[in-house]
Amino acid sequence: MPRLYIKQLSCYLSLFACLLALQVRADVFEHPVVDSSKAPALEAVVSRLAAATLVRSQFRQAKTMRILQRPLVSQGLMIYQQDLGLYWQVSTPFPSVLMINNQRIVQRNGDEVVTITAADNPAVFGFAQVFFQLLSSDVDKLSTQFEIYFCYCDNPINAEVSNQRQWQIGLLPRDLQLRKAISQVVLTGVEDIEIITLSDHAGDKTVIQFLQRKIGGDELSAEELEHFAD
Amino acid sequence: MQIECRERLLRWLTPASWCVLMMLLLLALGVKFQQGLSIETNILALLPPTEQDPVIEHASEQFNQALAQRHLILVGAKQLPQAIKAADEVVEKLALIKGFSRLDYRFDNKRQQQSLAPYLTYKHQLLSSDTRAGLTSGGADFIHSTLQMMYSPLVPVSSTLLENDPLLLFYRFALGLSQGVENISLLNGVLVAKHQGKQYVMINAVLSGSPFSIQLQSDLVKPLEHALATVRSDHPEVEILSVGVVRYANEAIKSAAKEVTTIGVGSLLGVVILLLWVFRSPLPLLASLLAIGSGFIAAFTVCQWVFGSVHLLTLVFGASLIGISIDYSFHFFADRLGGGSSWTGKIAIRRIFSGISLGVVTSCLGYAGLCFAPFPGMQQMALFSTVGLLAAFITVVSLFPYLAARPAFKQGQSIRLQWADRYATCLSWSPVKVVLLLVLLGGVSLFGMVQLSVNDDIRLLQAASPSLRAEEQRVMTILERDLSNQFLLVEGDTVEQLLQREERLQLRLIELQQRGELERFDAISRQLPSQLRQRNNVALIQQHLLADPALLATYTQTLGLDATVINQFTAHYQTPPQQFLKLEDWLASAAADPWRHLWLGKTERGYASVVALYGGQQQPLFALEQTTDKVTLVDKVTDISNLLGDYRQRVAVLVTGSYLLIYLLLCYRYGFLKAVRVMLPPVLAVLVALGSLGWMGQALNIFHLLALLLVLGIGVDYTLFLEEGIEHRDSTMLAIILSALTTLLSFGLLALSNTPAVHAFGITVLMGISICLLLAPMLCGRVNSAGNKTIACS
Repeated sequence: MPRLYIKQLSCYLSLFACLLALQVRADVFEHPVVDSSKAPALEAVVSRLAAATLVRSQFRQAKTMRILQRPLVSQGLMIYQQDLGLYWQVSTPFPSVLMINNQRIVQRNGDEVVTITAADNPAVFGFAQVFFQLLSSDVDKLSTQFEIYFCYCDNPINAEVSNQRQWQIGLLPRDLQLRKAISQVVLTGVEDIEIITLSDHAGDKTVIQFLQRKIGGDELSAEELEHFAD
Repeated sequence: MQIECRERLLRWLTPASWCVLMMLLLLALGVKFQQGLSIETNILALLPPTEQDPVIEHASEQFNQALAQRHLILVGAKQLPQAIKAADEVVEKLALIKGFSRLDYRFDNKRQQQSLAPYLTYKHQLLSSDTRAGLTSGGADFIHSTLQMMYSPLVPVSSTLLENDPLLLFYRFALGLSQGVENISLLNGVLVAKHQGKQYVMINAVLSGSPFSIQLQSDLVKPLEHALATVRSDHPEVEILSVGVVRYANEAIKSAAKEVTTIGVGSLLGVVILLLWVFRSPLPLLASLLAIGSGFIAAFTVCQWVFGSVHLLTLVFGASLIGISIDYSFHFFADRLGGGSSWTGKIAIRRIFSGISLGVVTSCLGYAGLCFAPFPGMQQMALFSTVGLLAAFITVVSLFPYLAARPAFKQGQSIRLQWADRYATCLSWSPVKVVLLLVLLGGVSLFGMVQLSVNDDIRLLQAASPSLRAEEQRVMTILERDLSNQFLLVEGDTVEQLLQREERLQLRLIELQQRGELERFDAISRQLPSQLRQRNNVALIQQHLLADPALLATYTQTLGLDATVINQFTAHYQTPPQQFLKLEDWLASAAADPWRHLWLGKTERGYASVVALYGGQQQPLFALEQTTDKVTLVDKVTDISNLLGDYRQRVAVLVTGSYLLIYLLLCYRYGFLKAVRVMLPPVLAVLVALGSLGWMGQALNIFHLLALLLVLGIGVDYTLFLEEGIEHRDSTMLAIILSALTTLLSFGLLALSNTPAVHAFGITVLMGISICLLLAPMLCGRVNSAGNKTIACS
């Protein structure tokens, strides 16, 4: 009887270990990338992302916080152009416009326009630059600020196109200061990037989902170019 | 009467009294040495106070000293970890160096919490200026914009943040603290500036004393350079920049020391060889050196006691001025040269006494005139050279008759006298040739003078190697700072009044910023609100946020925020604040670390602080100062450059006046035409000196003009001696040549100096005296063709 019990227990244990292993493998942060050139799978994804020099997309951002009864959801339109920067237009719930590039941040709320440079407010500017880099998905640049992790998920998100595997790039801030605000970031996608998840230590989470994301396409129209003006 | 006076003086001036005097001087010097000798190299210290108000002068001096004690090191690399690693090593090495009282480098979490700690207790009464403006324009709009912030990707809202600060009031205040500082951000616990793809880690050090202290320099500069060099060689890919006044001060001392050894030794060697060759005996040389040396020691000692320190430029100029005292020795030994076998030192000193005492009195009066120039530096030089000349004179009169009591053994120096005479004869050109030469020289010089520009910028007068300047410029570019030395000095009867005044001033400075007339400013009141403002902040919140309960209700509902959180928030505003964030607490905390130098503390009539300005335009700031009470715009560099320009003009008038005065005197003695002839050499010397400056593209400054005064004094002497000493032209000419050559060796070699002020002085004397030496025998003391002393030139 005891032998049988032990055997049963060991069986459970091994099953548990398997589950654990599975779960571990599902976590991208178990797969550090020391040298990206030795990770051809990552290289492929990275070069695909880097090729996206012009992106137009809808977005849905949800900030989930323990202290709030429901997530803060905002939706809108984003345009990313490698040289000009990132245009982030929120349409709901409060319309506002934001433009970020290496030199400045321009915030427009109605008629009010606020420009922030690094010298004006280093803290805000620094945080905006991180956001800008995340949205640009330029992994080479991100690797200066973050430790890079990479893996393919085992279950494809889209069962119908099962030959396409879902990948995840995990980012851990190198900067302790930044790590206080963002404990980790996960970029998820199949071909193109689809979801960016930012988490903090308290369990709060910001999920940015891209919808109808278009890479390349027409050159920026005059109207669109206007968004990037000072 | 004159003789009686002379005899009474000579009775006092004996070797014994000389020895007593020198002992006293050496004793006084020894006492000073014990206390620590100080040699000032800051050129600003030579200049007069630019402020009329001593309180303001003192306060701005205090601020400048605090700035001068700061030393900044930037360690830059492509990758931040690389830069931090090298910076760690730098700091490790710097910690072992004496001379730094503080090293600010790591800003870890603890340090950051410390910087925020004084504010946290009072967080409910602290608002950023934007928040204040937002609240004033309406509570509803403010709530709306706060909601917008919640959704913004730029605001890292979190549960913890909202629990403590549901309306993001303190978050905005804390952000505002670092607002407009510099392009520096805090990364990985260090301050980082980014520039052209490189990351520069910042190490802020504070010196333990004045950067001009020689002790501190020797403790600090070499080990610092060594430490940086070691790290540089260990990390060749890392760029390390180091800027601070101490490096400039040390470089000035080092270059002066080098000049003393090159120019000084060069001129000394020249004089030594000249004297040995002319007098064929080491005695005149040693005696002259003794006279000059005694003069130097006396001058140095007296200046140390009177001024507390001696400026480097005083040493350089003053030592040269004392060098003129060698002429007294010339007189004495020249007399000995032609004295014959009955010559004795005691008779000789009586023979030349009236001449050299007249010389020392006129020179001293001339130098004393510099005392009236309101430059502390000139007063120092005047005292230095007057004391030095007097001491040298006393040495000649009291010692020389005993040092050289008997006639020189070797006769036959007349060959030197003949050569001197031949020089004069060679230059006795025909009047036509002389006039042609004068016209040619004058014409070319006038053309040069047309091209002459003027530059009074004090910074150009300071010696600094291009590499040091470039390093500083690079740091300024990286930090996006500018090199302006402008600041506003704010005063108040109480701390509270001062802070309130600063707060009102801030509004006007922000207007300037918006008009693009000012780039940035730093003020303590940005970090530390006045008590009035703290009270006012609470009132603003009560009035615009809490008066209408519906406002906060909408806010909590829209967000789905827990009601207890907002209730806790409102509970703080039920009563007006009783406790305030106070200056003492703030100053004592880490929060004040980057700003402490702006606080000047108690003055004679209250309190003072500094508002540092960057990239400001002169005119609007001046207008601001004019219309604001108790606010003074201090711009030392511009003030001093203006002042230098003012004095350059005054000295120009002084020079012209002196020439005219001397001309009038000469008219009285020689008549109009002959006086012109006597005046022509020094006048042409002035023209040639100014003209060559124009041709060389050197800008005129006050130091050139001061040298012209000297050229006048010495140059007129030459022509006068020649006119007066026509009877024994050979010995007069020899004395003039000796005097001119030694002047050229002592002053003219200063043209090789790296210190622009010294160089300017030297080059002017070099050209002026050369021209005088050339022209004097052409125009004056000419032996007529019928004369008996015609020696062929060929």
